[in-house]
Amino acid sequence: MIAISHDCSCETNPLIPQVCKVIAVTQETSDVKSFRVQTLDGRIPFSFVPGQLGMFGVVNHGECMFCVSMGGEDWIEFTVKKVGTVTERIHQLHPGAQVTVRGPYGNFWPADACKGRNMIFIAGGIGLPPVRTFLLHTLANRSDYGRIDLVYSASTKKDLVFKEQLFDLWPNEPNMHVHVSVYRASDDWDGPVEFTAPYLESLGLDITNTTAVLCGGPSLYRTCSKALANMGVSDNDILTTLEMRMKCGIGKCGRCNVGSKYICLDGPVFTQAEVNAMLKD
Amino acid sequence: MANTQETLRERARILLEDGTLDYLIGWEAGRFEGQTTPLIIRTVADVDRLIYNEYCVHLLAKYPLADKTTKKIGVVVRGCDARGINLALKDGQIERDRLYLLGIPCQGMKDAQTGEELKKCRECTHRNPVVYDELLGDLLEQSAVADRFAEVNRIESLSADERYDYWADVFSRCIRCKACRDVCPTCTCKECFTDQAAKGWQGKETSLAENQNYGITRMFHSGERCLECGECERVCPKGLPLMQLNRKVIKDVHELFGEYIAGIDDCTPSPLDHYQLDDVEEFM
Amino acid sequence: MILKKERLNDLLEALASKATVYVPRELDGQTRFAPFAKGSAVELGKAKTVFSPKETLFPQTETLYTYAQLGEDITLCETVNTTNQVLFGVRSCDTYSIERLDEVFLTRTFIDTLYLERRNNTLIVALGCTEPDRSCFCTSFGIDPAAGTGADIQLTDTGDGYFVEALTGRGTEALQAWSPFLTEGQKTAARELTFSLALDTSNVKDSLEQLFEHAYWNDLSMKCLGCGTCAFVCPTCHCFDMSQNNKGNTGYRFRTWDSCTFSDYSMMAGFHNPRPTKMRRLRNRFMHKLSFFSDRYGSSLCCGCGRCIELCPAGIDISRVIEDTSSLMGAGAEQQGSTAVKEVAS
Repeated sequence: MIAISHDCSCETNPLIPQVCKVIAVTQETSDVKSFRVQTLDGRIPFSFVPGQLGMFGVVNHGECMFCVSMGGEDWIEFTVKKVGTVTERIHQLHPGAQVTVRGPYGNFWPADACKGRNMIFIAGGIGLPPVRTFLLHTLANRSDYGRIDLVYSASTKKDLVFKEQLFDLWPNEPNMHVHVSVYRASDDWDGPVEFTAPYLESLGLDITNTTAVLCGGPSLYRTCSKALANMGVSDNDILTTLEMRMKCGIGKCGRCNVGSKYICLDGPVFTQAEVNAMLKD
Repeated sequence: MANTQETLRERARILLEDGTLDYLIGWEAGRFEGQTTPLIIRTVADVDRLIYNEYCVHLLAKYPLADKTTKKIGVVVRGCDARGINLALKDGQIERDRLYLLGIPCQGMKDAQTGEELKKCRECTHRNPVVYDELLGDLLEQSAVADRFAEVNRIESLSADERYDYWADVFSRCIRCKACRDVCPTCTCKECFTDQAAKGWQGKETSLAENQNYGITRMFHSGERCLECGECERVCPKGLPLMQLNRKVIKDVHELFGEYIAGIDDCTPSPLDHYQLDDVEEFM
Repeated sequence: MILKKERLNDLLEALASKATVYVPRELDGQTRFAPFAKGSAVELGKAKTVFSPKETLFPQTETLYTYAQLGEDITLCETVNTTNQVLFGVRSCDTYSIERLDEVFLTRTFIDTLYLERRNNTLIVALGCTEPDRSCFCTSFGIDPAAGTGADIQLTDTGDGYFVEALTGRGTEALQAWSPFLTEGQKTAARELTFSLALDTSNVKDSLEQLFEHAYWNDLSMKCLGCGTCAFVCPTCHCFDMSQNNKGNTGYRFRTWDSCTFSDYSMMAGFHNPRPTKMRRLRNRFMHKLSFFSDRYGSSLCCGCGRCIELCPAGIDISRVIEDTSSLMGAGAEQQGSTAVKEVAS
């Protein structure tokens, strides 16, 4: 046997998941649910830094990559929108069900580098879960950050996720301002009806010493990064988390490349300046 | 053939110059002697890259179908290409007025490495283009073709176990590169069953069971619409005898519904896309 | 030391009693690496085999773990690779490729356990080429067809035998078992090989990056069928998909080769595809081979073996892509770009 030198600290096969159990399921919207999972012996499946990814699956249906949306002492949570066959199966899970989890993968929100700055979190629809861990981190370390704004939109009121935090908890946090808009009016909504980017621009937020954190679908990302540029936020001060199809999560299977970057290893978090420098293959 | 090539270039020059065509699909020389590759010509300046010789092995019929714009496309068509075009027209894959067909009666193509006529050309029943806007060269007498069902007859004479073993050996070698599907002029589905792993229609694994599911389902999908162009066999990197399967379907359809030549025109219904009251119905 | 050609089969038989010995064999009319068995005809040939030995280290389909479900309870059982194997007669293009696979699977934060196990259990015996094929162009990437870097043992054809030298400690150790079959002898001077295909690849990375938006890719991709032949015959292509085969309450999860030219390769749930056109998929393939990989790992992901050139159903030729991009740059890509056409959806 020869030993091939490598720079990996993992002792087990990184493609083999842990068997975990679901301990709580929250219905966020008609097609979004949050799943709290822990190991069979009651531990956190893996410790993570806000922004990192985890592979979450059902053993006979496959696994999908999600950004961890929240973490506790002995659990982590994935917030899953029903869009395909695997997520459809995940949505049938109930507390006590056994699932597969592996991770953490990828880089993370640069929370330390943002200390002392004002923060604008911008998200659309299912884009809020990846941002939430960072938002919660700034709230847990409130004195490290200045003013916090959250600009969040979804198609209709019923598509907004984390409604309790959004309407009851976060607006009461010191120096935090929650701005919510929807794209389509309904009888139960009396707030702004506007797409995210124009809504963001209309808020007239002060952008001095500010970092913007952006997560949403391709069109929200395109329009809001433009809106931020219009507002005068520099590309180095815009953070985003990119999504590509991933299979392995460990930089081997090849498909999540954007140019020479692998989203699973080099990302998912990039500054707008870094995104601009990538070849748009 | 040198004459045909000259005529082709001359016509291409005129048709591109006078705006009849937005582009023309033909062949150009590859790097190695006798090697060719499909070519898209957009400007007169590139016309001299066009070639026509006995090594133009690629079927061109499928190439125009990817273009969903309104561009006018010139295509060089021999018997096989022309039948492929008819099939596409019949299937509504492209409109006739978007195509300008330069017909060439084909003497059969050769394998550049062995110098022998390609198997698919030896078995060809239609060397002359069956549809064209202009003809380059004179129509050929259709020469006698070797019995193209000889291999099917041989396999049919084997016992069920022997047939199973034969096809198990063939499909155990398949690497599922899907080249046979991608080159096939009958394969124009926007979503192919072979890409539906998530739905469970076709597993991703390379195993005998999955490979057989791939090859045999594909055979039934193409069915009697197969043009017998033999491209699947030509492109298979493992050299699998895929035409034997297609010919089995064709032979059965002929026996059940009478002789049918796919792509002979763009309107005759194929036996399996309509029914008649006197159709065999042993399964009913 | 020299291995006389008449002792080759005796050596292989001895090796095959202790490990699976993969040798080039002609099966169904094509040469590929297959297990040696007593009496097998070994086709060492003059240059590369039709198919590379990639699958001996990275099988097309490989089980990652099996699972069983009993009520709510799930148990997983990992696959462990323990079989010893010898790859015998590997050409320089393929040893270069194995080095690239090593970089992918064994470096950059994570190691791939299954690959590592196979790699650790594999002895690589390289064989210098004696006459390149028409499509061989390894020297264009600085590869020496006489020296299989990354191999454990190097063989050099001396006419009636092979000069044998160990390149690694592991090779030296392995040669002890070879000694009954070896005789004293000197290495003859390496034969000068003539490559009909020799390219200047020094600027290919820059050229490709600068021609990224060039219309060239439209016409090239128009003839691409979108099949996976190039990726599956390529000794360095390593993309894989993961899926499971479920049988009631048990099953297994596996990985299987994938190709970036397949239309579903980067398709995400909800049918968003970041590379929705054939042009972008084919361009990504060549960029990965000739540019992106070297950004990440510092070397070319094309080894110049020419297998994709021989087998591409549409005659797409990576050596011509290298030449074409170079001449487009020489001609001033801006003027050539005037024929730019809109990307055609396909």
